[in-house]
Amino acid sequence: MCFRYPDSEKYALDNVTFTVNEGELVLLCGRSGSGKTTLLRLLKRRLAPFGELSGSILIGGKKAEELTERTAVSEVGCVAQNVEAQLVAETVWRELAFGLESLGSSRSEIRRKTAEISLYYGIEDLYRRRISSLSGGEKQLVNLAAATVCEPSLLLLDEPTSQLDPIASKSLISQVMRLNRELGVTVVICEHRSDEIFPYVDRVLCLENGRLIADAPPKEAAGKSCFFIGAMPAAARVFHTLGGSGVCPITTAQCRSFLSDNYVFSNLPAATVNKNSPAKPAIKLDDVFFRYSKDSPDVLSGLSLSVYKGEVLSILGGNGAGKSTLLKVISGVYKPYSGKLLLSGKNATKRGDIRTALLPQSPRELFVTPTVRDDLIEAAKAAGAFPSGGDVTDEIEAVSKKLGIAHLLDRHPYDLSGGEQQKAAIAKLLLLKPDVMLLDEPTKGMDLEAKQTSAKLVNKLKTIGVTVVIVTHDAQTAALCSDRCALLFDGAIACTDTPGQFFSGLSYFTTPEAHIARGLIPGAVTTEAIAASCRKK
Amino acid sequence: MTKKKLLTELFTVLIVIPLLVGVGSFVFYDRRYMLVSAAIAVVSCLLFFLAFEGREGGTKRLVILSAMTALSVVGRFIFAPIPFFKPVTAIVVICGIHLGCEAGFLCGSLSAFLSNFLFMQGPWTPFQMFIWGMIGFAAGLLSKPLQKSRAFLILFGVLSGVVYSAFMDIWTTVWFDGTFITSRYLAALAAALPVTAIYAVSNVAFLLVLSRPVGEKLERIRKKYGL
Amino acid sequence: MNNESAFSHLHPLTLMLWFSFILCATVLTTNPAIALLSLFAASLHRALTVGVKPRQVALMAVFMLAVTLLNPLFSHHGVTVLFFLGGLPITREALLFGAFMSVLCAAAVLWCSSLSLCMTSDKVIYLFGRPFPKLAVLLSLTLRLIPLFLSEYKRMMEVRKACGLYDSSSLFGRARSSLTVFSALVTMILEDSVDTADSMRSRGVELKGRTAYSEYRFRRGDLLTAAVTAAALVFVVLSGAGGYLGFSFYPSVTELPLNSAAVASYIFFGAAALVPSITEVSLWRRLNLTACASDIPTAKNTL
Ligand SMILES: Nc1ncnc2c1ncn2[C@@H]1O[C@H](COP(=O)(O)OP(=O)(O)OP(=O)(O)O)[C@@H](O)[C@H]1O
Ligand SMILES: Nc1ncnc2c1ncn2[C@@H]1O[C@H](COP(=O)(O)OP(=O)(O)OP(=O)(O)O)[C@@H](O)[C@H]1O
Ligand SMILES: [Mg+2]
Ligand SMILES: [Mg+2]
Repeated sequence: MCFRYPDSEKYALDNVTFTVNEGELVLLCGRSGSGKTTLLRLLKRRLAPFGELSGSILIGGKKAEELTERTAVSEVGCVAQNVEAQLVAETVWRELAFGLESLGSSRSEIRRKTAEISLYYGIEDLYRRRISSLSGGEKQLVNLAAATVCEPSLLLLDEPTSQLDPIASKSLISQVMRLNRELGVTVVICEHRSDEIFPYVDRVLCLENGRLIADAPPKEAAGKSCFFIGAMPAAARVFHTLGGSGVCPITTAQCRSFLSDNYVFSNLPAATVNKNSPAKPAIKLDDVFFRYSKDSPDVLSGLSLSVYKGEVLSILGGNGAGKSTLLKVISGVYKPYSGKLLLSGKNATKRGDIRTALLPQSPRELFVTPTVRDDLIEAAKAAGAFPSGGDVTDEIEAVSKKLGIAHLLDRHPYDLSGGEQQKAAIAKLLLLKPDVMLLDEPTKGMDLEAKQTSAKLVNKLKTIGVTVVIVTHDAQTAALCSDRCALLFDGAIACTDTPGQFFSGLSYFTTPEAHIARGLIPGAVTTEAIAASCRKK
Repeated sequence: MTKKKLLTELFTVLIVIPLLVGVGSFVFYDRRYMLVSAAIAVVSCLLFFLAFEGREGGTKRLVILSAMTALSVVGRFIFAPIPFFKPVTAIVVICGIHLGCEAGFLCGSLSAFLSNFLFMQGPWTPFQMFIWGMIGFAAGLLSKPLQKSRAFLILFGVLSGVVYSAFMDIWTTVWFDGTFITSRYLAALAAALPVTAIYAVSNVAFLLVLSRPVGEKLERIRKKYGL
Repeated sequence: MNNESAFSHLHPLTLMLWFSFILCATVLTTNPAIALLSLFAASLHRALTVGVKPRQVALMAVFMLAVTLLNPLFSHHGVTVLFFLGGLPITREALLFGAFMSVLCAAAVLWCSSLSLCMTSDKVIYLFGRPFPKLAVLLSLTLRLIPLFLSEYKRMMEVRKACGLYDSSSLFGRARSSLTVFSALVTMILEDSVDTADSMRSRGVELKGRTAYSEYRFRRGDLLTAAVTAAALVFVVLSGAGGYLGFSFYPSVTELPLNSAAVASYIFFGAAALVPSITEVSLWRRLNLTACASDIPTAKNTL
């Protein structure tokens, strides 16, 4: 099968051939932009992208285009990448009934099936709720329920956990596995954070530049060196980084025994403590309370936090813990009803020359013009440092070169891929010349390589003296780029520490590498750190 | 839109409605303008709903129509602090221009209906539905010249503000005691003059600001996804 | 909205029947007794559901007074001239008619507010969904998009504020900022609408034979309400058509008809108009009773 988008010469999918047997659980992985979404969408009638397709797709032995419309709807269920845009009804029960209504099911049948599916996923409490009142995780669960209510025999999932905290994403993944084990539904799932699911799938497919480079059971797939390392579970990454030989471990336990069998460990160098940390906090929150309205609960209750100048602080926490709210409080959009917020020691109400810049959870919210360039010009003008027109262009050129988006300046912001949008948004923020940069989930939906690039970028920001606060679900991101990490719980900061100490001290909100290194190498929480402290026996 | 569909809709507007007025005023002996006009408003909305139902396919159009309707409701809400300065008419007109008469009518009437849930539902709802619907319908009919000439667009904005105001004043007068008293109507018109002016200005402002970008965006989507 | 109404638990069809009856009767009547009954019932229902808010009551009173006083300025029919104003006669009939109209207007507005309280969007979709399944899809989607766009707009605005791109120095600046964001919102919306359409199509919205699922059942209370409404409808229409309810203000105010047909109409109309309030009160009574009932056994046990 080959596929090409209308305006591009490159094939988005190039000679991809594979079979998925009935009842299998298949993981589809690969770099960002390798064609995973394209492939999944091609399998579902009406989601298939516009373009030129050659080869054939057989579903249940029949050519996909020969299926009747009705079977195409009922036999293949799909949960796509864009969670919000997929929900089409006002309330949860209407959303669940939508597919069945289309199929013309009778009233009693719809009643039975929606009731059963809500019980199965444990979402009875949500049944009568309005979609607009649900949290991201709940929306994703409703999407999954709505896709399975027609009892499809094939289910396609495209990054179903991108918005979820580690705990919620674990439970969603276990729902999917249950669906596959208990009901025999064939599942093709595409995920960047593959640690939880990787060991349990029947087969792993890996795409690279539109070509299928691996199609094997997880153990074999992880052993292949051509395989994209970012898509492997931590165990396999450690194995490959150390250049190990023999059978590749894919679970934490396997990796631990592999390490202790073959290596001796030296202690990590003590983490360098930020030199000027005792000096001046750039941001200081003191006993801050915030709530959205008079009769809603406190989102932040008695939160105290200091961030020092030129430091990178990561804040982790569950869905709905109030992380985004905290960033907005720091940026001055929301005013705490009690407590103090000081920026560089000054009261936040008279912040004057302290500039903050906020990267929203979805970077699209930052773009207001039809080209990236116009948006950058807007920001540069707002910064006010460039009175004459010529300087603005120079500055924009410089910043966009630094971020590697110079070739994208004349594109529409919405035509960029997720990662590119992120970079363009950061460029816009940089042009604002901020002293404090607030990043809300900057690595959402990125593969490991992209995360590493972002981490480098953040470190660059640090060198020019910008204070950075990052909010993320992703322990890997936090481990890669921060000086300190904090856990937000119950409206306050539960603990702060250097990444090494922080992640070794936690059991769930932590990187998979920390699990592997626990007890073997104290304080190692990234693949690199583990690799650095291992020496062959 | 096919010619036949257009003809049926024109037939609805030009024949069925005057007929209703005639029959109504005959039967009710011109005592109950109220009932007749309410019936007109309701029946014309129903006719358009029916036409919409008969139309096959076009889910993307449906979604865009829905988005535009939601947008005008949201616009009415966002600009609530500034009295009478609302983007609703402008969005309805844009919807009519780009998606056709029928969509224009639906966008107008549903915007009125749904936004009144947020503001206040009242006996005036059917009339608002009708007049906004008709403005959208007219924009759909005149879609070509409206897209070509900016001056015409401005004129249309002003006119639709005036027509909206004048029509709602008819409603106020008629509603008042069930009969139409010219002097009272003129008084109501005069009283509403400043409001009418704001309507006209806001229509023109929003049309000028929104019409080109929305047109471009729709065009972009058409190209990108083959609408 | 937390002002839930017991009446709104009825079947949408019953509600539609009842509200069309009450609104038509209120708007079309020329009989002051019916108008007053309607206003009384409407106020009672509003008081029972939303409660009495002094500001709203005052506003309503001012509005009614204005309507009463304005009518004689424009209408000079009637034979009993009270005085002349700028050479034009101000008549008693016109004043009374104004008062009558103000009662009608107030009743209609109050009923409409009850209507939007009881006829939730779910019910509207149900009612339209039967004859117009596609329109139901459109309505449901629009109702989903409205809060989504609102929060999206709010978030975009907040981001601009957080980045210092929001110009709050003048009204013009604020309006321009709003417009910029509004226009960006349009882009986002149109872009996402393609995904939404895909999601709908992939879930078979274009298949023939779409059914409209609903969760409503026609219960005993519905039957009762419908019966009372129908009876009232028959009585009022028949006595109205037979001229038993006739009342006119011009040229001079006639007497309120009190013949047996008229009285029966008043009683039935009153009963129908009070159905929502009765439903409301009886629900509260029942809830109180169950609360007491659960208290009593414990009291007994302790004895
Ligand atoms: N509508 C489109 N028009 C043209 N090219 C496209 C379109 N959508 C995607 N592409 C291109 O096709 C390739 C595959 O994209 P796809 O979305 O399938 O990647 P992906 O593996 O799902 O990435 P991610 O992990 O970031 O979601 C990319 O190079 C992308 O730029
Ligand atoms: N605009 C708002 N109005 C009212 N309540 C809100 C608003 N935004 C968020 N909340 C509530 O405040 C709480 C914290 O929300 P917030 O978005 O800050 O969480 P979060 O930690 O960023 O979650 P996530 O990881 O899912 O992004 C949640 O319970 C949420 O429901
Ligand atoms: Mg993808
Ligand atoms: Mg958040």
